[in-house]
Amino acid sequence: MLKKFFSCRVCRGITSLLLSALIWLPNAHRLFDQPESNYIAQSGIAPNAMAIAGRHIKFWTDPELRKAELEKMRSRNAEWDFMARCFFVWSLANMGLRDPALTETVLPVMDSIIDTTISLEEQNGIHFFLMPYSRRAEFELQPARSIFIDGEIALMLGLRRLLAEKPEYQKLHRERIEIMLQRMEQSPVLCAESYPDESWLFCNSVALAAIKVGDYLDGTDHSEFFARWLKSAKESLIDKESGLLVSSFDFAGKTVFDGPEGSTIWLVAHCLKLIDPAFAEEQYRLATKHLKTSMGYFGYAYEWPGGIGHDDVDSGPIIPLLNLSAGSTGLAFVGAATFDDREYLAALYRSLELGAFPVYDANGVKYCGSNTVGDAVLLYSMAQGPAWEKIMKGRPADEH
Amino acid sequence: MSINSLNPLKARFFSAWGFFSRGILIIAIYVILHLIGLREYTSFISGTTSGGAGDLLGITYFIAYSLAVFVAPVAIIAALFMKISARYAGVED
Repeated sequence: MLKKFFSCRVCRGITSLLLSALIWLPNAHRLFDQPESNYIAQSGIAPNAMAIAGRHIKFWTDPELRKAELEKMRSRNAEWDFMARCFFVWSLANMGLRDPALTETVLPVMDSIIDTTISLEEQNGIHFFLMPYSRRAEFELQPARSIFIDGEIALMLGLRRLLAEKPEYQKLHRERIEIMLQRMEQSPVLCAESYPDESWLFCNSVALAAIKVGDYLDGTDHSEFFARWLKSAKESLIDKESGLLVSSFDFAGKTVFDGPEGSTIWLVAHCLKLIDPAFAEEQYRLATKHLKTSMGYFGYAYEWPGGIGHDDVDSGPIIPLLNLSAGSTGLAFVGAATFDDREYLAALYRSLELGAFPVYDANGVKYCGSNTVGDAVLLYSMAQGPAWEKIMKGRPADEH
Repeated sequence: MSINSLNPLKARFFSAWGFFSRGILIIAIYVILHLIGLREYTSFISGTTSGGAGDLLGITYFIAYSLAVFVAPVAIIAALFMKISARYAGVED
């Protein structure tokens, strides 16, 4: 019977293909498995983080390379140019905290990026780092400012100060904090605008983190503001269906423009960990419930709950059929690393090696499927930890 | 065995050589695309598009890579099963 079956060429062929698929496909992931210690180190810096940082340091210290990379970003989205700077500076601060021997190397790079960014903002105005629609209407609050710019610059200044105090930056950091607080207080939901009459939770949660860093460094106390902000967010900014925080809404907080999004919620959970760790962890768990997914052993993230939704210039494209969002998946690394979700991280790293197309050279590594901001986010996911830990622990004086 | 039957494009699909040669062909195409530097163009995945032709090259590389990772090894292993099952059935491959 079996001999008769196998004497048919097509039957033999189909059986052979099925059997070999059964052997190969469940094992293909092994080609892409790397030890976790390549990405995340308990102490010191993981080799892959060093490789990404090496390449970034190279182009931030080489004007021609920098120009080419940033032009590529800006031609698509000016926000990406800005965020590449911020995520890289935040990463360097954490790397300096992880390995104090690196401090002298990273400080000049951090300062150069911070100074150039602030100077570009001063010369060209806030719209330089925003998408063109920032000019289509007036900001509700005047003069026009974006919490996207203020928050991320404030966090760059704050984390630089956390690594090593610099009096000029203390002044700039405090000024930004005061401006942000004053504008957030004017919104019924305590969230300032990123774009005209459009507030993003991503930007406001980064602002909260920058304020918290300021509290740690300068001994100020905004716990009452944080408590009011959390109460307001829980009352007004939670999506009823998923329990997740929404992404964008109007200045009054009455109209939600975008519900929960992967490219927002992973970082929001990361930032909120400084303010309310239990709530942040709950948001992370809900995000994994609605956005985490995989193809076999390869993990990735949807942009919208259940994978249903559109792509936009903000978060990049969504790969059809898989509904894979590069923006959401990139930030999922940060979320998973923040909440020590090792299983998800392992699946994400496998996908990184499979689908982000790493290229190693003398300068380090770059992921061809990613871009400068994507690589900076990845680096941040590998480096983050020490800054938040230090702040959550509190200053020695506070412990008494 | 004729010269034609050794040609991967002309070999019988359901044969050990058909599977094996096609698997190798896929891997060879991927290696060539890799060596000429098409990996760089996969930035289309993150939306950092370089525009029409660049995206097309990136998509071509992406397809060749996916086939080389997931399909070619299946074909090559299947060639081995094809040989074994033909011997078991006592027929020519």
